[in-house]
Amino acid sequence: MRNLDTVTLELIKGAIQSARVEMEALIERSAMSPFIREKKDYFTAFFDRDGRLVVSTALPMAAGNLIDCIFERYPRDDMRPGDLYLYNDSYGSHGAVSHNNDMVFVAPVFSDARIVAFAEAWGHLWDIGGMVPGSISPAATDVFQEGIVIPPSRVLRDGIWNEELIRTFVRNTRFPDMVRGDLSAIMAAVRLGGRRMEEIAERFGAGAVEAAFAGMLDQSERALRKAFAERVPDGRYSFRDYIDSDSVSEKSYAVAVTVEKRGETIALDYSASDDQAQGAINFIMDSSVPKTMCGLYFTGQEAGVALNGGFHRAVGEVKTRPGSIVSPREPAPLGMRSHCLTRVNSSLFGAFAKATGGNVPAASSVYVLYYLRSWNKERTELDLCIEGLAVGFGARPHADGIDAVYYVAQKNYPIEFAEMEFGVRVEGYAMHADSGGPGFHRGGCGIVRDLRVVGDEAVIGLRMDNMRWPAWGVKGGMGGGAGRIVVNPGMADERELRPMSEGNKLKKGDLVRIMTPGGGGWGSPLERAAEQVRDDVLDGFISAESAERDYGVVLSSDLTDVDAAATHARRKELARMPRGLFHRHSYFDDEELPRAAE
Amino acid sequence: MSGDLRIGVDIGGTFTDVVVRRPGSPTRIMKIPTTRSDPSLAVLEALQRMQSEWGLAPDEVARFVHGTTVATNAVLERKGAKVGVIATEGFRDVLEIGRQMRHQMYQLALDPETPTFLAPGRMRHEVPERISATGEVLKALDEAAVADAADALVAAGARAIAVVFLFSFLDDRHERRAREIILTRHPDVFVSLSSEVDPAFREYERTVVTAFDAYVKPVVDRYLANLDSGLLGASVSAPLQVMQSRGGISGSWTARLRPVRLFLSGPAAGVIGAKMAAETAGVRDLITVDVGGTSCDIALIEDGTPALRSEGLIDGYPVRVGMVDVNSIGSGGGSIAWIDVAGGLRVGPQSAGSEPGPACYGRGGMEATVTDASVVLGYLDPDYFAGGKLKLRPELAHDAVARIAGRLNLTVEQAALGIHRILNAQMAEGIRLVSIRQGHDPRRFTLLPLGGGGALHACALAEELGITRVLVPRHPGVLSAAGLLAAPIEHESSTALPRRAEDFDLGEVKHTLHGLDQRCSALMNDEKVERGAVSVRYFADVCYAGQGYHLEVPFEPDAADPFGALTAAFYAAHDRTYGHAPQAPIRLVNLRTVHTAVGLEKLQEDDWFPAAREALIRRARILLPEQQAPVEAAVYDRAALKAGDPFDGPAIVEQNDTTTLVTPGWRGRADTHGNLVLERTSN
Repeated sequence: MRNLDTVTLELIKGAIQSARVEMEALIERSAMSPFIREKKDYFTAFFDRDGRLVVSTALPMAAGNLIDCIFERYPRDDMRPGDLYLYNDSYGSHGAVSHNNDMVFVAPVFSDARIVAFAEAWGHLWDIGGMVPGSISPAATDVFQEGIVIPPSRVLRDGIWNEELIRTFVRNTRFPDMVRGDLSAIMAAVRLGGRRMEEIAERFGAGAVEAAFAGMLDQSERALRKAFAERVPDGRYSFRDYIDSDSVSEKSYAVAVTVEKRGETIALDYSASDDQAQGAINFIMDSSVPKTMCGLYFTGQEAGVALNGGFHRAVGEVKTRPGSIVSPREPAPLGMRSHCLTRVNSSLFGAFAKATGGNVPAASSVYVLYYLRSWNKERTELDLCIEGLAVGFGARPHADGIDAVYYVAQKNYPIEFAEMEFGVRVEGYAMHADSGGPGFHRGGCGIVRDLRVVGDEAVIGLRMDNMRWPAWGVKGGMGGGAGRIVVNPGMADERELRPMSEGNKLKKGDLVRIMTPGGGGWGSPLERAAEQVRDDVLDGFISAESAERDYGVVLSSDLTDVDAAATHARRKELARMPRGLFHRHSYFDDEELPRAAE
Repeated sequence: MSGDLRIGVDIGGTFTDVVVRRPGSPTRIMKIPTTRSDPSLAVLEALQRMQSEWGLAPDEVARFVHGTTVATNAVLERKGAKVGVIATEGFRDVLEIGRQMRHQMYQLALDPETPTFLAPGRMRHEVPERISATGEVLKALDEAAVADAADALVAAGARAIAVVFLFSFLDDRHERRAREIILTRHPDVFVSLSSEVDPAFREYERTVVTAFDAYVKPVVDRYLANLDSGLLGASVSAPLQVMQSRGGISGSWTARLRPVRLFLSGPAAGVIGAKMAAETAGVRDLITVDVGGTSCDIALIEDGTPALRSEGLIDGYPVRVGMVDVNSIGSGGGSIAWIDVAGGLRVGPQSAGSEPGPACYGRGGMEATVTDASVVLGYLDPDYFAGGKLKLRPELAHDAVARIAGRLNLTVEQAALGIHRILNAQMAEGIRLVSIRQGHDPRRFTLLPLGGGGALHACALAEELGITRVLVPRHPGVLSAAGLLAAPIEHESSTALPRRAEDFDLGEVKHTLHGLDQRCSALMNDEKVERGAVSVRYFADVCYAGQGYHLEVPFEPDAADPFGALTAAFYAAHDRTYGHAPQAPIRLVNLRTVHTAVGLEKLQEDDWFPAAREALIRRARILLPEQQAPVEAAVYDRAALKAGDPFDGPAIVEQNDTTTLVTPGWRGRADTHGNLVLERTSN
């Protein structure tokens, strides 16, 4: 059955993709917590019998090796139909999940007493105990402050639940009903995926399904190797990008990579990255993560190529240094590993920019989160509002960056939902003008969200990066705008909050304005059509000042007309300024050195 | 007026279908090319031809029901009005930001997911006002700001204004006042209020549907007004009625007020027509598959009731308005076969459409389509396509499929079969979406193909899904027009009533429903429907406390324990839909009342009088999956099939608006109403 005909392969591929989407739909529609339901912070996948990823949610942040850690304790031959496994152990799974709020469920799929596949799903749980409600805190310095950990465990066998394990876990959360509801939704999804895969094996035959898995891996591997061969010249390319801070100190952390390209494959070396951080920005980088980033970028626009283990085979070695920020040692905290993950991505694409003369997307900002905990006077009622805020994405070689997007693929709370559910009032929600890096293609804009404290007292925790190190622009494009957080803007008691901080006290009636950072621009802003710049001004993406200063476009006083003569003169003047391959604060061509805290 | 003619007119992309019925007379059918510049012209032409060809006078028309794509086309072709939005201060960018979500982050051509074309930033203004989450007025409406915003928008060219204030579903006074101010200053501008279009929480979704309402309003208004006066000018005094997306009809005046309810006008008519045709065969549980040139619309009808959904998509954007749950996928007869970068054979969603059309049309199409594959496989008679109106060129079909086959190292026949199998798998997936994923076992259902292309794929689809019965209605090509005549008059009204279980108050709920009932009764009254003919049903949108999606469940306020029954109904619906239903507290979200006037007319399909000629036309050699060599199939003339005479597959049944492929293992027969019934005889 190794050589499956092309039509059957496509039929099986379609059926598997559709079963996976069905798992997602079930999770999204039946989960209890806003994190999963509204933010879509979950992942579904199928693996082959050896634990190789076959299809999954297109999330580059998610590792592709989710089954290996189960095999370590439960040999495949010992598994039975109906088994269900779970874990949320980042260190114990070697980074299969990269922070402990993500709970994984796995079900083996049998056909004629033989395992043909695994169905898998994880979802981000609202709260798993730990030092603060929500479990992730910018103040954490130890992974054990980030909640209860379940190592890879079997939770269901022969119809009998390991109820004690679930009870113990749920006993450790501050929101037991919600967590139970989410666990039940994720479990239901995995079991549904298992049933669907069984049906597929029955319909097409287990041999055909396994051959289809192999065929899909081959397709993805071939596509990525071809892209490397055609689009990246041979050579060694290094780049480093920086995380602003780890929130418990003011130190910036570098993620550094060297890409070595030979023929139709590449190898990656992240060992020059900085040592692990004291704060929770460490990232246990599974080797599949940068491989998936390459796969998604170089083949993602191509119909027919699935995100799977084929990508993992197309990229060679991924080297990391134990004890570094991308390979931390326990008990380094992990909660905010996205800050590191984003730099894993931007350093990788910085290196590809050097290889291709800038034909890559500019850098994107890291999403922003706040944790607003408000109480009534008696402190008997706690409201917890955890909200993820959109930022701007980097401009692309063929288009503007995406405005107002949460990387990756998570929804905001409707204001009318947030106000009914949480102790908060939203007083503004708008594009953050000028946060998109100027360029021939403009970087995406971040947003502005204004929150009024309605509880008697409140404390806010904040996670925002890209203040000291905004997203870089490329090929003449300029860096994205930084973010800011201000309490009571324009009032006598106006004050700034540190972007990575916990325990900021607020009083009833305070207004917190969160302005999120934008993405880098691509190509010289002087080449963007003047009418397009004017439209961006009219529609609120850039200010008239930035139009003149950065784009060289001078508008009439009512902003509706381009002053052609003045624009010509201004652009001519700006054209004399030398530009480099990258831009962040100023242009540069190679690597930036770390800067002292500002 | 003493007339008793009932006319249904369905305007499709290519043809305008007209069905004329008169009690006691055979149904008459007319197909006229659609006049895209002004679709009402074809309608008026139909009236003239009715008179000249059949001697039917317009003043004999008692009912005139219309299914229209004018709202949908305005969106697809971006020909709606210039729209302005007036929002609560601080929130003009809600339409732009959307849910800060992108489904496809890695597509090369990535457009925003939010419909900013409806109103870019410069066409969105803000005014001070604010209602709280509990419905109190936190900030009074700044009326001068409304006037300024309206003036600015009209000066910038706005023909319609959407007013969307936060929490207006809890208190609509600010929105209503804003409309008064706008209309006082600009009486010709169309205004859509979010509290009327979609009184439910989630401001982005409400903004989108309200802005779409405003966008199509001037277009729909002009179109229906033209048609109205055209009918009057042609001496039709019957009121113009229009099919709405939920499958009920309303007077054109109501439709003009709320045009966003017309997006699925055409497909809804098809679903109702299918339901009606199935009922003549005693079938009440069916899945309909409407296969046209570019797409395939799938719907499910259980116990005679079409499945509805509370939110649908128009051109990929979410539109939160009730509609028949039609799953539309990009698979049709014109779908193009191609090879993806991974070397896989794919079919659609690109389509050759009708111009140039499939390669075998001989109009310059070079790419292999599903229709070309059908010709290669011998399913379509090149001399009898579309009743012989279009002569197909099999050599061009063969060449086109051969080009695909060569790249895949397949024979032409293998490639043609592959194209069919992939298309069938896509359609089967589409059927699973409306059946299995909604908790329905498709094996309980009868498959009903409609449109020109459905019957060719019906047996294969049925087998893939374990369905054992297929019903091919007599005129699958004009079922939508026929459905218009069978649809009930329906008015629906809903309101948000967010309440936790502990705050349920029957008095409040009944009071709210009473208010909704009054609105619907007024509309029924406008259409001169007698009170006694109206049946009233209540529904509640319910979710678990803290959950963001809701399910619609029936609600009976006069039951012994209404909230207990509601809770039980919700648990059952949740279990059926999602496979689990914890006994957790529920929450009320919206209340809805639906007034339906049924029994206006019980439509009976005419008895079947087969043509007096031999049914067996010839024998053809066709290729089927799982068979190495061509097999011989009997080819029958649908019009000459006698009721009850069975025949076995492989067979082909030809008629001028479709071709039915009966595969081995299936037995067919015509029933006494002329339906073609196919049943599985072996496994």
